[in-house]
Amino acid sequence: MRNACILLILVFALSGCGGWNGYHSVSLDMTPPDGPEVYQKGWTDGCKTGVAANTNDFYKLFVRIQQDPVLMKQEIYRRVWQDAYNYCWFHTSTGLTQPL
Amino acid sequence: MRLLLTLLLVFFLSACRSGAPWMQGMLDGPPQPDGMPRQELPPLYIKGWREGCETGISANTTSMAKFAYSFRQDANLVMNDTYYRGWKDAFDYCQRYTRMYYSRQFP
Repeated sequence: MRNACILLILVFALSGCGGWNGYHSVSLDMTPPDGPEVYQKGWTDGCKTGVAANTNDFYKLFVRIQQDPVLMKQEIYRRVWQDAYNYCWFHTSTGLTQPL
Repeated sequence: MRLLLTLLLVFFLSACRSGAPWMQGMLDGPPQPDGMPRQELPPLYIKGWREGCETGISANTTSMAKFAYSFRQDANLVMNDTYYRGWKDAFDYCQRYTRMYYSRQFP
């Protein structure tokens, strides 16, 4: 009985691991997908911007919009930046409003 | 006690897939109008749809289910208009559908 209770408490405690690592949710993998360098740069910049747009005022001091104006002229960078921004914004937004 | 633990395990594992059972069909392709024959779509569009939909679900599902879904996009195909159109359509559709599903007031 005691072991079962400990296990139950552990399960509920670990469910909180969908929590936060600094300024973004631990369930958000910030590693860009495999691809060309410009694709990965666009993904990283867009995602960091999306997270920054949803974080609290404290972390907003450290994370800002990240966008390379030279690379924005390349369609691939522009597309993946927008996709990653949307994905990370919604991912962070849902993490704030739906903890479980 | 074992029965209780088994039931708890079943309930927790059921959260690993997002949403209602009928939502799993979202990954296969765009919704078809009732009574209409299934529309034939290019394979690249379907591939883009599948990956865009998983990405959209991942963006708006619960914290537990976020570990089951992730961002998926083929970097070598993102400049292909057919693939990208499928990806964007699915991302928009699936993320909004999932978001509304989890924010509904009544079951």
